[in-house]
Amino acid sequence: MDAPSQTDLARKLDMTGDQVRVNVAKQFTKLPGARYKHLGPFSGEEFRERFLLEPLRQGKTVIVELDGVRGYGSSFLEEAFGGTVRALGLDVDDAVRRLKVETNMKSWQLDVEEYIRTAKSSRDPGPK
Amino acid sequence: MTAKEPVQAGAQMDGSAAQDTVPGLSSSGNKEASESGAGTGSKTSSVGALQATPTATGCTECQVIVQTLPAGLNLVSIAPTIVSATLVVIGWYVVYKTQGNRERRKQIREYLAVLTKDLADLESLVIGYHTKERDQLNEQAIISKLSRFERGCETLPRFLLGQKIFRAIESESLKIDTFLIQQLRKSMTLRHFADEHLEKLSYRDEVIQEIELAATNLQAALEVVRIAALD
Repeated sequence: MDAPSQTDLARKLDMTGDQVRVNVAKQFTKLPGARYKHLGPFSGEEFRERFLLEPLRQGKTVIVELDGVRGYGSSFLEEAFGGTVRALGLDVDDAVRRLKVETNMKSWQLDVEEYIRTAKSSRDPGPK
Repeated sequence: MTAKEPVQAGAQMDGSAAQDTVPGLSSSGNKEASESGAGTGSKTSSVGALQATPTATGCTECQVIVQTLPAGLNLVSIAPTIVSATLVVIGWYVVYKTQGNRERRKQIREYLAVLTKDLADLESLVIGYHTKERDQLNEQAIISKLSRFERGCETLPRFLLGQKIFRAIESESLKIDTFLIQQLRKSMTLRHFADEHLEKLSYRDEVIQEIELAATNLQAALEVVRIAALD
């Protein structure tokens, strides 16, 4: 998939100053998929590439609103958030500071925070 | 002025001598009413013979109250009645709250029974998924059921909404450790899930054992809540 253009990105994302808000249910899907995009739509990998990488490269803070979906597999969350840290080579403190989630489900928040913190040490990327 | 209006007339007066009294009644009208009353002696209510004449200080209401009480009776003597009535009201309130709390605990136990069954079904579904060939329909079902179960656990503390005192159960007792819920989801959907499901696992595989451990821990947590909700 081609990387989104700057215009597309600015239009799709709520970019307010140094902060970007992304609502998964409204802007991506209500039915998050699996880990990798080659086997199906709405994967964690696709979400990462479309919504997380570019704003973080620009030095912005990204706030992801997780609520409103059917549910998440841990593999989706790990690939989306942990994968972002690995892809950009972010320092853990920097990642924790600039990559945030908002949700009413505390277990999802806990999951994401763990994957951000352990991104570099946890995963063998696995088969693609 | 009619017999029904003496109090009103009295209330309108501003301390001057009474202009009107109940026809047929004078300052001794009260006494007459008592004597010719219902024959209940000194306890006859003189409501029907109120004479709203102001006292020297102009306190019409006090005069009414004094005239209303049967002779020989005062606030000190009716204090036990007031205390008894108060205790009755308090007792009623306590019983009412206790019964309500018992019902609420019963509902919590029923809700926990549903959650426990959901967890058992989920564990069975997930282990079946991992130990068989990949089934994408089951993947969707697992995500949905997991999400519903998580929401169910996070709903538990809401059983105490609106209860500030006389709570059915301690609010801390209704909280399921979020870490346990997170561990359950990780064990079920982080590894060997969806596109990582290349072949079926054996029942002795580490993934299966992690699922069983996480489910067991969460089951235990639900049981602790259920025990706390017993009567």
